[in-house]
Amino acid sequence: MAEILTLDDVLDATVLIGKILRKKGHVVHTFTDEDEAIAFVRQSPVDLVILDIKLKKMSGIEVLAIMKETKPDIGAIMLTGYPTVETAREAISLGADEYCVKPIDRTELEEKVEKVLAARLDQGLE
Amino acid sequence: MSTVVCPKILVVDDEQDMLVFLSKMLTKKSGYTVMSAVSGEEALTKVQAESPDVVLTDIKMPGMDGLTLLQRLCASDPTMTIILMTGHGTIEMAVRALKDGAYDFVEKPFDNERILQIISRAVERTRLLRENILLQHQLSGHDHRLGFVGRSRKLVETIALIRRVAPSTVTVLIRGESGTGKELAARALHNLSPRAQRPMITVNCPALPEHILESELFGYRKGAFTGADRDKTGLFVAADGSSIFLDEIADIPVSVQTKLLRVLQEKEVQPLGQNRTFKVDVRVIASTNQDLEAKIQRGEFREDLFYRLNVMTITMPNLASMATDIPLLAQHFLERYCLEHGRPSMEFTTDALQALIQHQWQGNIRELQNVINRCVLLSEQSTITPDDLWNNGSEEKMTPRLTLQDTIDQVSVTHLSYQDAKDQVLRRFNDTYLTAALKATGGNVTAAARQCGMERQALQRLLRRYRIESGSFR
Repeated sequence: MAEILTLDDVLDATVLIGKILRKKGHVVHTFTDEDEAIAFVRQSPVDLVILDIKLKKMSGIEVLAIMKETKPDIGAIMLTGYPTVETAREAISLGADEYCVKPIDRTELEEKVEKVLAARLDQGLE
Repeated sequence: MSTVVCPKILVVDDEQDMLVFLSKMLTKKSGYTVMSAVSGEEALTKVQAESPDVVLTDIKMPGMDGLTLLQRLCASDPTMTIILMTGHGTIEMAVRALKDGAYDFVEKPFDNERILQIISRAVERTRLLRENILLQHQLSGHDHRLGFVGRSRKLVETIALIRRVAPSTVTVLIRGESGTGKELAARALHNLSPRAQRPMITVNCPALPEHILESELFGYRKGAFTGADRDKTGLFVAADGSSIFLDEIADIPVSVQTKLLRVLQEKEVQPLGQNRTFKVDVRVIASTNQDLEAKIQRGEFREDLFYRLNVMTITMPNLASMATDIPLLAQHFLERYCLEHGRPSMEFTTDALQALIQHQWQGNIRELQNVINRCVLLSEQSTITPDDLWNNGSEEKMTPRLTLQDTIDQVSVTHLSYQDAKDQVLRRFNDTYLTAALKATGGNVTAAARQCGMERQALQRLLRRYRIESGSFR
């Protein structure tokens, strides 16, 4: 069981991810606002963040950079409907664990989340 | 790194046209040395021969593809910077490549300026990484050149102190048990000082009788005594502008101590039978393994001389306090003596290394060095086992130091596999137990067997297995 944050400018998308991951026993915090999500990461223990790249105010890459700055150990999965090599490279170099393309199916999401959490366990981060 | 070497770029693509185009473009616009390969396999051989700075490779190729090549190259040389390019890339592929260690991922068709920019940044990355490794090597190699081998904290601290003290002219007293490398430290002090161009004069104090030591150190004038048929320059004068190393200073007679004190105080020497004194500029390094404070108490060493010498003290760590370095040292001596005795390279078994670590090295590094030297000379196989270490009449057998309890308590076996640990404890137990039994009966196997409550044949079998000679106790 892990603390997971998901951020997407489309509310339905966060609700859907929340439903899938809660069924797996995780605690999921859903956000549509960048600043609220960043503030939450600063205050509360979060193991993994799932970030959309196209947001309202900033890009998900910027959000990733800020979150990694406050919590370098945090796990991160990028999720985007508009994949480019450019954003993929930036995300990976900022320390994202995965870069996935929407639409993502349920099993793929579950697999990626488990993979990132397991890798973090191996490193003794939890 | 003042040598400017033209960076080498290897371009890998199965399409000849692309290869030719990229090679031409890179050579013309950047001045790099450009090599090319038409397959992943060819690229691997070229990399081995040329060790390029940057590899620019296509992903889709017959045979080994770019992603596999990337993994192979990253594993063999992490300083090499690899850029992947593809005409039909998917995001998944790009993510995988970047996570596998690719520096960048470019989609064809690409802009010439952009690829040049990426490559020049990649060249810079490789240069920095390689320079860093080189510098680290030089640093560690430097200690090596001074003759010190080891990474334990104690030793590293001592070397750091030597480096700090070396450039000054201050008198240094090197203390430490026998065999800890006091002379090595003295040589390092001299070689790291501005006096290094001139040879250091070494005087082994206890080797010379009192009156000879005095005339050797300070010199004499013709006619100073019977047999002084010409002037003799003393070692202090010979060491003018350089360093003098007084080895085992605790053993010099009190009369010479008085004269030495004068040199240290006034920086001048007066040869025997000479009225005038000579100014000398000599850096004095002294060493001792003895308890000078106790010698002062007994009146055998002048207190004022002690304070003159003891301006700066460097204490060489004994081998017990740098036990983690024993494998490193052992390997160092093994390689050195194999070379010296012209033997093909040899190696220690894990048991042998373990035995070396557990041994109580009263003679410190010198003892370790001698044991390994003897092994290299006498061992018939290319692997050195624990038996090779202590056999051949070494002093080990002469000084039994372990009680039975010790054999089990002192062996640190927790990190070995159960079988290895058991074997180790058993071997030690048998060694100690059987040796003691034979010693008690003066090597009489029958009597020893009776004492141990076993058959004579059984005891003999054990003695054979643990290679204990009953004859050596008679």
